[in-house]
Amino acid sequence: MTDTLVQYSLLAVYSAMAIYTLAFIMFTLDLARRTAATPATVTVERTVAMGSTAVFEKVTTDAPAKRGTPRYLRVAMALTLIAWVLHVSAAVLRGLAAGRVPWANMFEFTLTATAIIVGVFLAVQFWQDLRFLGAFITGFALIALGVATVNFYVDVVPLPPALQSAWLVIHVFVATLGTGFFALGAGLSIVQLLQARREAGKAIRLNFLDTLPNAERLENMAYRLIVVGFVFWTFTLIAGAVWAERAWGRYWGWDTKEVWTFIIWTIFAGYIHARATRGWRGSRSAVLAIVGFSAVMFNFTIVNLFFKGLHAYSGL
Amino acid sequence: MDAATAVTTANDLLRKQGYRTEVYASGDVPDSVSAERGYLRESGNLVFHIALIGVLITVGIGGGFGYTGQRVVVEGYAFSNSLASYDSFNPGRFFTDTALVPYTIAVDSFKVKYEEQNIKALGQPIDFTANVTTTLRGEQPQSATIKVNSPLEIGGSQVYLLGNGYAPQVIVRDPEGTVVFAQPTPCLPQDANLFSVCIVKLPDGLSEQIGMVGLFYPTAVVLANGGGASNYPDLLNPLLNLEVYTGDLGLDNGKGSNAYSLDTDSLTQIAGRKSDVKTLSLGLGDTVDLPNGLGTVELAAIPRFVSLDVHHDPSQGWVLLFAVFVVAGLVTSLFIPRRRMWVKAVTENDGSVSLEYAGLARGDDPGLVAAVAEIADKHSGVKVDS
Repeated sequence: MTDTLVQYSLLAVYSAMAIYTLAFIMFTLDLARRTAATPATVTVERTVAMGSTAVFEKVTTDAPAKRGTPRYLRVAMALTLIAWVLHVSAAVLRGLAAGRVPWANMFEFTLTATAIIVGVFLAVQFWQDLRFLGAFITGFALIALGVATVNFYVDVVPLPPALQSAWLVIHVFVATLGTGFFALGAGLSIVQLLQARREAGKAIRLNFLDTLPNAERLENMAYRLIVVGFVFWTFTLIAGAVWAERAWGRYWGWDTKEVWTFIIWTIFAGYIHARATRGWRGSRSAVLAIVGFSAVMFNFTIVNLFFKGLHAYSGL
Repeated sequence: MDAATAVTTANDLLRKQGYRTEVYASGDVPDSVSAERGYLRESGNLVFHIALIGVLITVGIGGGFGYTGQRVVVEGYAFSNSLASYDSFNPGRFFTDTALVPYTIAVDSFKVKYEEQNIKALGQPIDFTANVTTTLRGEQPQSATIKVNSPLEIGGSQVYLLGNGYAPQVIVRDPEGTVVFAQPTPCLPQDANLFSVCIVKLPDGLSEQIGMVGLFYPTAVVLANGGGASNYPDLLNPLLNLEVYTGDLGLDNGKGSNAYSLDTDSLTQIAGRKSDVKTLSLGLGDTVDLPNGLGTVELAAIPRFVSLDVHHDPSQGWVLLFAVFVVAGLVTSLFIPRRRMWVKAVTENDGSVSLEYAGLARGDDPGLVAAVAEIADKHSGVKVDS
């Protein structure tokens, strides 16, 4: 039974990867289309005068030419949704096969984490149109899943006693959720940096940037995603300490993973303060957001695989 | 609608939405109202930063009143919470002996469950349970269990199950058959299948001091190269190989020595690879002769030992409390918008009243424009696009 479920789970992962690949291609074609197209949409900004003062006015807007969603983008989003459903079922099947949550080793964690990252990406569309990040997100998920299936794959084994705790469900899940928000924030920050260069008049041969929001708006969206991620991360840190107290007999022991999680927390705390500091807004804070997400990735890959510590659950 | 009414209704509306308001008048006629909300954001910010300092202080100072101690206990044995009975002990800076609540913990049995079905994880431990009897001074003994992820709470401290292994009971008899040594010896596990190294030191009782270095295999197999190994952590085919040394063990000079290691440099091997007598091999229940007619050695029983970690940290509840305040403060300071609003009524020359609405965000406030639009909408009754 277990083996059958594991096989179905893997099948679902591979199918999801195939469809993510198609979605990635479609998202990229869409970016190419944006490069070719003359900018037709005009982003309507509220009138902002003097720092953060927003003076409300009735702004008459030239209604942007409603041309419907471009075909590539629609197809790409549909493909992403299908791939995501397969992806989630892969995680669920893996969990059923193991009889526990599907995030107890690096393979399962990568599988579930990428599903959540893509899930956050899909959910965020209801709030903001961030579909232009599709290539970034599907590309990221694709690479992560590839590495997971090829390099991180381990068989289903029972949970070691130290992991047999309700905190495994809470602590790790919230950490993953936080990672999802940080990933989107980092994606926006990268686009923001490109956009800022373009706006500064530097020659950048990326015409699709014309169709994207301006740097300030990208920064605001990134900020709002990252603060949500930051709250989740803070909770992860505290829940981790509570669990460590139960399992290892101390709530903080400078384990490598604890240290790195704290470093990441500090980087993003720095990011939030940078946003409130004159002269650190804009590109500098974007760089901090990207550094923060890189640290998250470092914490997950390098620290897990090469640093000795109590969080040695990669199963490798 | 005249200007005064407009200002009064705006004032009511803003108050209803939780703003602190103030009405300004030119002459006797009120003509504008200014409002502010979101003080909680600043409070949250203060709570967050003060709580962070609280965490630092409680960790820094509170930790000084605690202690941690480790103790290895063999099944069937007990330990009492006193300084002398710990194998290692780390007191905090402000620790005094009075912090040690007198109690005893007897380890009645220690059960390990191994994976037996899943061929890919055969022998992986899936559960550790220590059944103990605890006795606080002057109270009735109570049964309890200690598991990983489920420490025992006793006398204001937590007792954790951190490690385990085998403690073979080696019985040494002199040539007359008198028992001179019969303690279980906790052996240091070397791998996941609990291949362990045991050190037995007998400074007294026999005609010579002897020291033994034992290699213990819970499930012994012979490797292709002739060496031994254990291929399962449970006791399926236990084997204890003993190398025996004689000479001065160095226990009489009053210096402390490590019970888990034997310095063989100054000792003479009398059984083992470097001597004429082969290494002594004992299965469970076997008795073999020691070389040179020193006596006999028997592997009588193989109980398990647990290593218990006792933590006393009176500050950790406070750390948790401050941590909760950190999160509460953080959420409040990040997500509660702080903003100011103005509604101004200007009476035009023709007697009509023109209303102006304005908002000011303190800090990041994505909802400002919408909030101003909502006030304008509700107050004037005219739908305004944001």
